[in-house]
Amino acid sequence: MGTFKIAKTVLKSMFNKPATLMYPVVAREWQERTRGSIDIEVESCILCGICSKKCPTSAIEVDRKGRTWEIQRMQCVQCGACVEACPKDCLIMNPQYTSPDGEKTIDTFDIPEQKKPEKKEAAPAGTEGESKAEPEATEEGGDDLCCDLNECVYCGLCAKECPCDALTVDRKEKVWEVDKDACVKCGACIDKCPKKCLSFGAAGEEKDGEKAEAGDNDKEEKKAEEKPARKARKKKLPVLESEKCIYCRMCENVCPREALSVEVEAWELDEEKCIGCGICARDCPAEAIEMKEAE
Amino acid sequence: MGKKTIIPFGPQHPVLPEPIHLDLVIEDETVVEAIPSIGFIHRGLEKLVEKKDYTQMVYVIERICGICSFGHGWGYCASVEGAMGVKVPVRAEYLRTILHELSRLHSHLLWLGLLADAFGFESLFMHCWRVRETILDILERTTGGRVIFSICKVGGLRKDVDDKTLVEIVNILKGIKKDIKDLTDVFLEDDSVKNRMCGVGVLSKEDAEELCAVGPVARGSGVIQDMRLTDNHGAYKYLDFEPVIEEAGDCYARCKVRIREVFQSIDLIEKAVEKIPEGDVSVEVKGNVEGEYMTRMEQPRGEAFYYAKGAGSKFLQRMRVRTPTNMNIPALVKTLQGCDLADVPILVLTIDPCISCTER
Amino acid sequence: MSYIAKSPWVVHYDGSSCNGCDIEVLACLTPMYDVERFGIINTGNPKHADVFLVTGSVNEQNKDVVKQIYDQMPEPKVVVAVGICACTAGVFRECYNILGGVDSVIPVDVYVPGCAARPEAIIDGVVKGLAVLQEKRDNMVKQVDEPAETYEKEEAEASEGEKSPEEEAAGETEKDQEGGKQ
Repeated sequence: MGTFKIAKTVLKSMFNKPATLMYPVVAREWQERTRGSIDIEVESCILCGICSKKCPTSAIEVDRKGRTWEIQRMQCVQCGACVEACPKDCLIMNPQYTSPDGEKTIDTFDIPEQKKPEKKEAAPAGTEGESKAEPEATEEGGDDLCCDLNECVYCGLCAKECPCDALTVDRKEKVWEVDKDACVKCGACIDKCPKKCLSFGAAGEEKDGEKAEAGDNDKEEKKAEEKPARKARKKKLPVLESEKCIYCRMCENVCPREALSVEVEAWELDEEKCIGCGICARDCPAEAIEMKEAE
Repeated sequence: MGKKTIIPFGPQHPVLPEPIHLDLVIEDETVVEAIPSIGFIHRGLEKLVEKKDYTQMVYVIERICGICSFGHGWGYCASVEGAMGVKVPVRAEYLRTILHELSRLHSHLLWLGLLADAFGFESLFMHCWRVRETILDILERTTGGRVIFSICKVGGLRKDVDDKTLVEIVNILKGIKKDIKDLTDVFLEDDSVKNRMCGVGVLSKEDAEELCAVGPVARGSGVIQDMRLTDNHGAYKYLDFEPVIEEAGDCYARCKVRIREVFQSIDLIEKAVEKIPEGDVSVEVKGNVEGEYMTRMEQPRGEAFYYAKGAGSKFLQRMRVRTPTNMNIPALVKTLQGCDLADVPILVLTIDPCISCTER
Repeated sequence: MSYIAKSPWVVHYDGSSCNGCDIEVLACLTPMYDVERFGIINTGNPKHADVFLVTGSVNEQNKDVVKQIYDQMPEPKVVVAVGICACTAGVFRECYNILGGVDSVIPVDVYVPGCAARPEAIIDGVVKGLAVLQEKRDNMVKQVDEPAETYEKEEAEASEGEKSPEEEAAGETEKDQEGGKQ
């Protein structure tokens, strides 16, 4: 059919400008959306730690006591999950990439203390507030953290999840408390609660240290079944179907009270420690656990 | 009867950027048998579903392969959305289709360049990759990354692309269409190239069906199979097109299928930009995954399955990806029997192997 | 700058990478970025190469391959880990089959971040690697020249004056120790 068919392209490239970008002599101009590296505006950071939880490679570390925010540059894949998750929008995606280095670069930023803002107008219910809640700000209302005590089983998962240690939960005394000064309204506890009884709802008058009263629960609309009143409910305990069990120990790992002990051919439950929250049944990959009422 | 020798090919060799090991049993320069040995890229990432929740898992799944990255991200999101019963907006479907076709364009141009390099035509390799850089600039402009896009999420897309940019993209593609035509003419009409490819590595239609070949390998042997028409994903149902089929079954036919698909992709993008509606590009998704769902995608290399199963928590219970090269390796072994030793790199490349997809 | 840093040859190996960084390494050779203007050639033979570009992390099956290629390269040599997977195993750190970044098997001189690493970053990394290569070459040359200098010094002292045999012996052992130091 033909020889040297590439002649046309060769002649064109002989007379056209070369396609080479003369890097590194000529600096490269970045596009607007290019993902290079992460920058932080330290004045806005509230050290909530959500970026650290969302990061798929665990490249970010937040030290609340030492007030530092640290990123391991050689572990960050520039996905932008932290930028989207930050409630204060203090993380920015910079188009310039991190420079190569002989050592694994770790950048540490000191976060200054935040000034307490002046009183603002009441925010609409359910939204996360723009400033820290004031202790005497009961008139603002609307978006403080509150708990529906009829549903709460005092499992304590919210307290464990809280990055600011703002929650106190005591199972024996049936106490659930939130320290409004420490709470940064990140919402991590709301996502974690297995009974969906936490929300930023209309709270009514509350003061520090007192027990939280039941508030409006937006999440209740999502629940299809109605739960009986708490006093009439008997405690449910997990029951294992041993043929299905694969001894993966996931139930032992997720139990908030460490009431399960799993070895091959030996699955044991400590009934006194168990609070009947049902997380083991929910997370079992073999669907081998069922919650049944205790006899 | 000549003497049999075994030559180890790989895992480090200058032809292929990926590690694959083949033990070639040869008799006087003719390959009698090929025994593949894979596992160099196996990372075991499907097990990470136990540790990362379903929103973080997108970042892992799209890094299964850097060349077919968008297809994997879309397939994963589509299977999780199916399991949760989430319907994405129509604009998001159109945009996903446009980005997938751009991804197919860059993948086929990359493959054409590597094929040219494999038979020693280095300047053609350089020209193909020079044209490909224009496509990568478009992808960087819309998604932010050249290779790994991170733009799909469960519920739609993370960023919108405005209509002005879409029209500019179509104009850029029309501009480079002539360049691509000049280069592909070299592959299809130059005598020295045809000598290397015609009649080499023939896979008959019966063999292709029996060995379950997928993608351009199957379409080059006359099997009519294209997931874009059968599976109901994306905006393909609104765009009118036919699958590209060739009958000969040799390397030349497979090359021709991919070249015709390049031009078909440019047409599809033009059609989609004309028809794209206004609207949002994502819906908010909350809650846990319950149930199972499977989608099939037409990746540049063929048909890929994505199966997601959830059991009521934010961690998926099972995520299974079946990639196209997995099915094409038996077809490769069949075509290697009886070929010359010097043709082995070309035959290996002609199925467009993506070993990191196969091994995950 | 001596001759070695002017035209380094590169060998590239992909150990459990997703191919993203590999195609960016190949893109460096293409007309857009064109590292061949610096004299860099991508060779397939480790014995011809000065710079070892590794992409992807190390798993059970390819740790021996990486070590073998590294051992086959002649001194002086530089290892550049390209991409997050090669630096610290990235998103795959918790996978059962991954041992870690490349530095769990061979010593790394330059880390190039990015997922996938941009061609500009790879060029920056290779240029940094060239400075390290130059330093290693200078150290090698110094070790070769030192015994010769010591010999000339001894000759000069012997012809100058008469020393006692014990002093001569003490002087020689000291200089031997200096010359044998790596």
